[in-house]
Amino acid sequence: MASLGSIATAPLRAQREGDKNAKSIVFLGLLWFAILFAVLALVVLLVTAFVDGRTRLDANLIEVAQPGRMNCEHHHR
Amino acid sequence: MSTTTAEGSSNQTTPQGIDQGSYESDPAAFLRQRRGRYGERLAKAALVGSAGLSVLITVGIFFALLLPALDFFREVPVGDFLTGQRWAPTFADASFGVLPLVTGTIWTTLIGLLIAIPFGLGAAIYLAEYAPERIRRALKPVLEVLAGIPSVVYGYFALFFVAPKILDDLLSIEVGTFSVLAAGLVLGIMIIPTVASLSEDAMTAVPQSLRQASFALGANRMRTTLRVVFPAAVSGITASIVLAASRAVGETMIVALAAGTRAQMVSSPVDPGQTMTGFIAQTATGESTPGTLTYNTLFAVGLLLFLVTLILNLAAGSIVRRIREVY
Repeated sequence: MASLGSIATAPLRAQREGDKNAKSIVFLGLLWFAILFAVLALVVLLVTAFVDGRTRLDANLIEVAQPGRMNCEHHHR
Repeated sequence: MSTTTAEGSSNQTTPQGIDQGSYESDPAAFLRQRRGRYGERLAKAALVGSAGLSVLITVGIFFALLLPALDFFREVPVGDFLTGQRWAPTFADASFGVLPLVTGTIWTTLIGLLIAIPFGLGAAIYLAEYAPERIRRALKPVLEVLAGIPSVVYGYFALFFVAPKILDDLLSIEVGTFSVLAAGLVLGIMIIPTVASLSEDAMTAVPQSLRQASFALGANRMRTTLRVVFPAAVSGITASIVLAASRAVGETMIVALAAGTRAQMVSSPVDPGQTMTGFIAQTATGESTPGTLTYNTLFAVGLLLFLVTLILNLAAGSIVRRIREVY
């Protein structure tokens, strides 16, 4: 005969076992993929912006004495 | 402590002037009848003023769009505008069929939603139902950073990275420099946090007792999430999707930079195309002379955009009211 304790914890055990079945694992994997995609997009965006802009990351970026275009012409010369 | 008793009545008035009898018999009516303090009335007036100002601004925007748009429609029939398939307002043989701009907007919005809905909802479900509190607190702000990045940065990201490197090189999809696909994909990434954050809030607001009841019946976490929490939060989730759709329809910089400026009927996602907002950004450069037909075209397209967004929001409100569950 089942003890009172085993009857009371049956739903909890069922839930834990249910969380380990293939469908639940695939579902969790999809959720992880969704959130990783968003985080990865952010990381790629930041890295791309940094890589493309790193050559301009110098004191001239915040130079206010001259218009930016004059600095560009100076670089091209 | 002085307490006065009203003649012929059991009501008592405290030194603060509170009529205990009336208060005890009907507290709500008593509080309604009491004159508010000066500060309360001032705060109420400020709040009513703020709400009224918002409404006035919206009405002002509507009329600012409507009046030049009416001038436009005096010269161009509404039917030609809504059903015409050639958009060339600045050409010598001008043509004002807005469908090319509408198809461009529909393509970018649909591609954006196709990305944002599954990824946004996946992220929301993970954060609300699975993530430990520590991970949730770390991941949610990271996701919200995506919403805070200026859209011009996303536009260049679509133009210089997504189109040439991801679509062309990695996935071998032949897109040119401009395509609605690249614009839509990046638009989708931009609105993921809108769907994720609002949907997560809606799911977190579902009473814990519903989850506990589901677990008590032996349902696992996935079943509880999909069959109990998700349906209970569906009104908030719908609202988040509609808000994201409204943002996608109204987004300007990404589509102006990445989708192109060729107003044509878009039949494939790899085509370039122009959206309604893209046209407004391209044309509203200060060179259009006020009162001309080209100038008024901006307002006609703006009015259409306003109405599309309004209809989307009204439809969402109606859906949410119909399916809302109150606990």
